[in-house]
Amino acid sequence: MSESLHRALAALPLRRAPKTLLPRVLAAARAEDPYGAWWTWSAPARWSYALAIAGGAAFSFKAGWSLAEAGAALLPAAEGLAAACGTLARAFWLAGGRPLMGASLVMAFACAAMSVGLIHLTQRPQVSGRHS
Amino acid sequence: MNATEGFERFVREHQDMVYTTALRLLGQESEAEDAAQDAFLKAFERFEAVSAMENPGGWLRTVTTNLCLNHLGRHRRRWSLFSELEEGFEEGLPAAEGLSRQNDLERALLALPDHQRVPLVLFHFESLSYEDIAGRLGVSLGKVKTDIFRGRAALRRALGEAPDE
Repeated sequence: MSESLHRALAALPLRRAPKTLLPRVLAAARAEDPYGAWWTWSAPARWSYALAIAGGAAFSFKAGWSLAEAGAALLPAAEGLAAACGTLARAFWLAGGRPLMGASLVMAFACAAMSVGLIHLTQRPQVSGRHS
Repeated sequence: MNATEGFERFVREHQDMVYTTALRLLGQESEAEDAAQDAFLKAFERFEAVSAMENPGGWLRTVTTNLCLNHLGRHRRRWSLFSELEEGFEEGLPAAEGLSRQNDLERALLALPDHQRVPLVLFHFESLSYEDIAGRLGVSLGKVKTDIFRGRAALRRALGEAPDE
């Protein structure tokens, strides 16, 4: 093998990846990682939650509440907010996630029912002379 | 920096290498892009472990190579069959005049038939031995040597060099 070819091959630069590759990979990764997706879309909610807590703390400080008083007032509020978020997430799951997951099962039952119906309609017993 | 940002940076850093490796092995841009995506998804599945590796790029390159070889093995029948079908292909390679040497070489490399390009790429770019290449491709050692020899001859013609005999 001539050295020049070897050198020429070794010197070949990397090709630039197409611009579409990165978005494709990231979209596919997001689809594979529902937790990651949740983390992304829930960012505003998490920030709101943090701001609410900070606001509550500032308010209680300004109102001259002691730490115990502020805790007694804010903790139930924070718990309530967390519970509301949990309920909301559960509602989303019940309204969208689970029905979609069960959609294939429902379709299968629907197809089976339709098949049975069609068979019933198309294969009615023939009237025979012997029974008359 | 969260995991998503870390992964995005990882993809940006390695995408040219992964794409080039896939393109050289598969010879087609659309297939190379698919293979690159699959390789990155494999990395994503165990990103914590991959990002902690000493040489994640090397791991990614190996994964890409394996994915491409699996793809070729799955979709393109046996290497021996291709050898027989595509004999004499080298005559149609592009001429060297008027184009840059690197572009010529790149084009000529991608234009090689699979049974010549793949062993040549594994030898020159992945630093595999003839024996390893024969093992990976499931062909004889003699065939690997012949295909690499013919591939080099075709590349030399594309570069306007006299072929070695």
